[in-house]
Amino acid sequence: MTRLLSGPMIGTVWRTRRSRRSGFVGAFIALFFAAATATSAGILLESGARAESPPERYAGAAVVVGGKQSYDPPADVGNPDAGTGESVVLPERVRLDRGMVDRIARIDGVLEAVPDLSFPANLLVKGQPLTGPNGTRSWGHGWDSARLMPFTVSAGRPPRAGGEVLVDAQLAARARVAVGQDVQISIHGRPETFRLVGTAAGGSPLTKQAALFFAPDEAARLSGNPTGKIDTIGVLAAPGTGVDELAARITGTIGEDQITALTGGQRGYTEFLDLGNSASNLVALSGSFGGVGLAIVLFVVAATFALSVHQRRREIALLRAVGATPGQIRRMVAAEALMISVPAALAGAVLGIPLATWLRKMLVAGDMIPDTLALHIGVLPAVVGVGSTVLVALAATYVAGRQASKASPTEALGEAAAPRRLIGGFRLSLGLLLLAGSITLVTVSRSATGDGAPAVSLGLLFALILTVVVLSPLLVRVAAAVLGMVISRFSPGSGYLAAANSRANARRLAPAVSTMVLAVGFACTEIFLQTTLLYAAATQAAGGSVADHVVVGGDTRLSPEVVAAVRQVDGVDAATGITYTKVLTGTFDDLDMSAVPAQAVDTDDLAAAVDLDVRSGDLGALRGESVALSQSEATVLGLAVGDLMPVRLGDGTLLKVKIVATYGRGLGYGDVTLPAALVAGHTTDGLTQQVLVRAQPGADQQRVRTELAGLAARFPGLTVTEPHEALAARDEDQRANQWGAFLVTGVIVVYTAIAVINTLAMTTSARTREFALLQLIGATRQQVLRMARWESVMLIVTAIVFGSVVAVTTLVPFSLGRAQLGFPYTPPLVYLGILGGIAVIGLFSVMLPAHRVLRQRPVEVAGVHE
Amino acid sequence: MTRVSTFQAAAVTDYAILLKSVSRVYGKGQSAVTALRDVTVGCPRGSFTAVMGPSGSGKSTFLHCAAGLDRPTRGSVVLGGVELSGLKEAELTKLRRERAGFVFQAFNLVPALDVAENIALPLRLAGKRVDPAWIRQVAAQVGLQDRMRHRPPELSGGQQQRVAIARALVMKPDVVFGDEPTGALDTTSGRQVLTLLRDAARSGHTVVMVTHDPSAAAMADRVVFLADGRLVGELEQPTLRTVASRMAGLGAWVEGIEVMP
Ligand SMILES: Nc1ncnc2c1ncn2[C@@H]1O[C@H](COP(=O)(O)OP(=O)(O)OP(=O)(O)O)[C@@H](O)[C@H]1O
Ligand SMILES: [Mg+2]
Repeated sequence: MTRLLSGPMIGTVWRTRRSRRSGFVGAFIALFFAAATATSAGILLESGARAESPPERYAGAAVVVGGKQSYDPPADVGNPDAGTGESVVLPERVRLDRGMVDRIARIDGVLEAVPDLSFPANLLVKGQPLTGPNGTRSWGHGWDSARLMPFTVSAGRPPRAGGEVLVDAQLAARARVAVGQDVQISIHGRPETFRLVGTAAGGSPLTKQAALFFAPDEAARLSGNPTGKIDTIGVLAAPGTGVDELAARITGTIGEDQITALTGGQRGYTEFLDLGNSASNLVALSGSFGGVGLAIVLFVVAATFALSVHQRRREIALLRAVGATPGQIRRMVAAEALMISVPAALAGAVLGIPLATWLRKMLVAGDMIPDTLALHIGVLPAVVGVGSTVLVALAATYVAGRQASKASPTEALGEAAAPRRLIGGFRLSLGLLLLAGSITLVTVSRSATGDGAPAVSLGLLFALILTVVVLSPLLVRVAAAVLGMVISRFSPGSGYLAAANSRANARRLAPAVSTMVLAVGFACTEIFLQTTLLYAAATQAAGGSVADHVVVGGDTRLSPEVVAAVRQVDGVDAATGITYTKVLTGTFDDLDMSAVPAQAVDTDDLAAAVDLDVRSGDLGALRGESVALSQSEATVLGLAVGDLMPVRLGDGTLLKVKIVATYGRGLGYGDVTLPAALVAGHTTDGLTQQVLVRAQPGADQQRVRTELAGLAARFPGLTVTEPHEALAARDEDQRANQWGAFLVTGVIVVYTAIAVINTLAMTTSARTREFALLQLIGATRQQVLRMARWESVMLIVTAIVFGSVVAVTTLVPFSLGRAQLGFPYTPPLVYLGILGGIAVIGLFSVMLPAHRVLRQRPVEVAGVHE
Repeated sequence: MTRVSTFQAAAVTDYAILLKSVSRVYGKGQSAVTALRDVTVGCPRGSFTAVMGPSGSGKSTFLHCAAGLDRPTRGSVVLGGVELSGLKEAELTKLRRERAGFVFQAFNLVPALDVAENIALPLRLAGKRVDPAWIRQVAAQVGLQDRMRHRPPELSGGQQQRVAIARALVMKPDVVFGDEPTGALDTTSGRQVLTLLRDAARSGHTVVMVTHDPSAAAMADRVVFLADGRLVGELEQPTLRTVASRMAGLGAWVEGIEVMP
């Protein structure tokens, strides 16, 4: 016993205190940032879920009733109480029957039910349409709805007859028009003349729209809504009626599958549909951010704890030697994990708040969410963030602690840890099993072609990374053997030592390499998944573009009538109007549907104006209740030409349509193509985005272009662009849509980078004694540093190779399937950037601790000074 | 006590290692500890010197200063004819690599390397060619020619110390330093190690060894005694009996007893 406690043992305990400290710090950092990520994701999620959307024109309404803007299939057809399946947001306005107004008016506590309808109406100044403030939309309404804000006449009088208009005072000021004057207004994209009879202002200025008011009958006519539908109903409450109670009563009476009745800060969701979309986008984005983030955190924390326990084997073995049972060791390790993870998670949760604030700012800057969407900082995300972090830590500790408790007491007595098997039998079998599983997933991923494809790829990515983590000691050993040969050749002293060390310490290096592979694999996969999608969309769009000119309407869009006018232009051979929307697709076997991008087209000239790369069927048959599907969408649904399928339009209208063709360029033009006639009346504004124009062979293109541009007199806001400009603009839009995904990917990549720095620094800091010994037997400081550098080079190369293999294995099936590309689109500069990043991080996080370690005098640490 | 006069008379180069008025103070101010006080010792070429003294008397500090692992606060050290005080860290390391070999009490070897590689390591670090025949010869000297491909954890403590000696000898250094090289060994292994060190001295290497064990010291040509950082005695051609009685005279065998010279 005395021998045990004297000489080397005391030194051992004393020395492990250092590695223990670096281990603790490492675990703390990993958990701290984990909690920050989880909390910020939670805050964003809650903010999206609770986002308020203050109303403007409906500010004076107690309750705002609108159609139900989502499709919620029953989870179980037989059992109505089973709740609903996956809810899908409907992107276009779900309108209400006019009869609803009276039904609501009769409900107890309703003072008045005021119908509102909105149609695109832009004041023209010198022939150019004026938008709302900051490029927002400009809408026309019936003057009867002005009560809902309420607007009060600030000049002139209200509109009473056809041909009269009253505009909001800000708009009048911007347009410099005065009461009594005749004004040109573009209604649904067609100009008409009105007499400006008055201006009006509400309680606060309009920031998200411009408003033009017409006499109620005139408004109904102008809205062009033949079915007599209305957009929303504003409800004024009888005195003494509670608004929430009233809303509940309205919903209860009419049925919550028919309408949504919103109150307070929620009313704006009915007024501004896109806000609802961006809030639910934020929920989806932060949901995947949190989900992916937690999976990454699990890997990182597991690696960190494995490393920290590995570095303490000696100390643990000593404790075993003096009588600690494996169970006691496990409990000790768990207690320590708890001791670190609780404060780390609490501190991290606090950092989550500024992180969420920053992310919100970036999302606003990228136009993903409106500035009005405020951050809701509640207790729940912090509780969930802290809780999940602590749970992850305990799970990781359980695994690491089991390893630790297996340490044999004799290891404490030996000079160096007894050579352990590189990889246990169980671990090896698990790794091989995972490898087999990943290979199976590759085939699944190859055939996963729809919008779900990225999710399948993510699953494959994690399966592969898990495989790498489990097999990492083996992989490091193999890589060290191969690279070692090269490096020893280069540098017979330091390089040789580095090679020998990496070979012998594969187990010790495995956690650091795993984190590096995770960083490279995740960054490459997630980034190139996006670039591949964008690239495929852009090339498909470009490949399908056969138009000579593209007529576009900009922010205010075009009247659908423009297509017929374009066809009249001299020298025009074919013209097709395209309206981009979303529709819900599914099959008759399954009530669940998902929203996919769609284009509504004029079918007459379709083939002449755009080349969709038809794979089967005939686009000529696209008439009446029919659709064409992208090849990948058809594969996802398991349908073929000739089959019938259900489609819900953007406003939820259910159609039963026949598939007449499939085509290849789904990413470029939308997965569903359907006749414009089917969609007419089912979009919020009823307008068209662009018209593709093909000139007659031999026509004078310049003249055609000039004549097309001349149509602007009849279709205000119309401009003519070259196809490549239109493509570039569309590409830009898509890029902007990916901004959120890029942003959260970036945050997770930064987290993995921190994890890499962390594990490498931990690994290096624990090498104090080894570095000292080398110096004592004659290695110069420079030689030790060179050795460390060679080692980090080997780690970096290993991580880059395996990380790239992981990424390629994940991306190739995806690009073959979803993107229809032979190889993922990997911009070389981006790839080099990722590699450069990992190289810099790898070098610095080895070399800085190495310098620090070498600052200590070797005699003091090398086991000389017992 | 002939030390001062002898050194001043003899040419510096007669000594493989020479410490002149070396003092080493750890820390500053109140907490300063003087580990060596004005110590002057020279070890002639090919001699085998044992350093003895009570615990805390400065033996390790002496060895570190002599070997250039530590820099004295005052005084000068000459190793193989080179004055150490003027050297930069890298020059010092290179000099150490060429002229000095080390054997410590424990934790001597690089676990990632096998026996042959551990022995050859100083050659590699010095950028010298590794001659397998020479490595085998050195390994054979310490009786480990059959364990060349074994890694340190697979060796016994005594075998590990023998590997360390082989490694210390592989560069044919002027001086081999040992800090309690037998401290962690049983009697038989300890004797083997001591015999190897004495053989090394016989073949022209100078050996300086710190030890607590009088029987180990008795294998040396000469014993120098330290107490409280001062050189307090010297014994030529020691025997177990003379060493033991001198140590007893110092009155400090038991750890923790403060000794006044
Ligand atoms: N780095 C240091 N900082 C402060 N004091 C030190 C340091 N190293 C040694 N000392 C002190 O210097 C004195 C001499 O130490 P040294 O290690 O040389 O003794 P030693 O003779 O080798 O003892 P032992 O036989 O116990 O190994 C001791 O009092 C010790 O506490
Ligand atoms: Mg000592």
